[in-house]
Amino acid sequence: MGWNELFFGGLMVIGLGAFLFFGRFRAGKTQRERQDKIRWRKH
Amino acid sequence: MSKHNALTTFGRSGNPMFRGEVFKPDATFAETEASGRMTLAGTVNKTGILLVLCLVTASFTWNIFFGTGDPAAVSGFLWIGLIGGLILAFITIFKRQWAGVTAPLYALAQGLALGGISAMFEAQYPGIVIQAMGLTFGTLGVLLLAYKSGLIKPTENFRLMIVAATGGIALLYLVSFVMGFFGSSIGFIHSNGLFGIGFSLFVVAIAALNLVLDFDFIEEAAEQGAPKYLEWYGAFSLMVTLIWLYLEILRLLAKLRSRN
Repeated sequence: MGWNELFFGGLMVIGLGAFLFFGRFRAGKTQRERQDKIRWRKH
Repeated sequence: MSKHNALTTFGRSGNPMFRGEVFKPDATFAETEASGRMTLAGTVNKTGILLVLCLVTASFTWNIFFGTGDPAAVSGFLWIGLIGGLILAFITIFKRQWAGVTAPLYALAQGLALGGISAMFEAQYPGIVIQAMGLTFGTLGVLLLAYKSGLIKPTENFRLMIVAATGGIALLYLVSFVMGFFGSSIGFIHSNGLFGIGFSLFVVAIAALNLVLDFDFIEEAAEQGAPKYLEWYGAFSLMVTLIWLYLEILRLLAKLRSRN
């Protein structure tokens, strides 16, 4: 296994892991309690 | 074009999966029982399922290509995957209540196409597929963290910008596709010159920013207690964007490698 596979394979695992782990949590307060949020329901 | 007209023309999200009326028929979210409501964890799990399904069929066509070394051996699967995926995507968009069935089928179909396409790129540029996958999922993870932490704050103007850019790119690809039937094409789309690479970088950036809109939609839908089937719909939308991002990164890397 070369550096290419190690680096990009590692990046893939970390990125996917971050999504699968952090994706379960609600966004921070600064994100949720804004006045200029996209109004998905309004449209 | 006024802001209102632009939104009417292109839809309310950069991602065509998130049409404006997605929430409308489900205006009584609050009346849904807690067990029947969409959750973030449910959407993440379903995205994981779709990714695994896509990987399974992608491995199938990948192995056929490298087993035979003949592109013609996978071209049938490639077209089945592309056309089948397109039909299933439209069914999912217009009948999102069916997403629990159509989204997994879409992932399986797209896997057939992606496996074949990836294998052809890999045969020409060894090591390119792992690079594209690493960059795609790396982008997914980084943008998710940026969104969750509030570093990127999507607003109506942000959405309008992404919608307009995505619509423009889609139109350009459509024109190029039609011109292909007459033996012509828009040169810079496929060129490995500076302009061609700049165009690919722009498209990759727009595809990546579509992920932010996906996150925002999913977050908002879960926050509002949308029905459970929208978990599959949200996962499907993320898959559409991820597949687009992966293919654009693959094209960008191929352009860069072809200059050597």
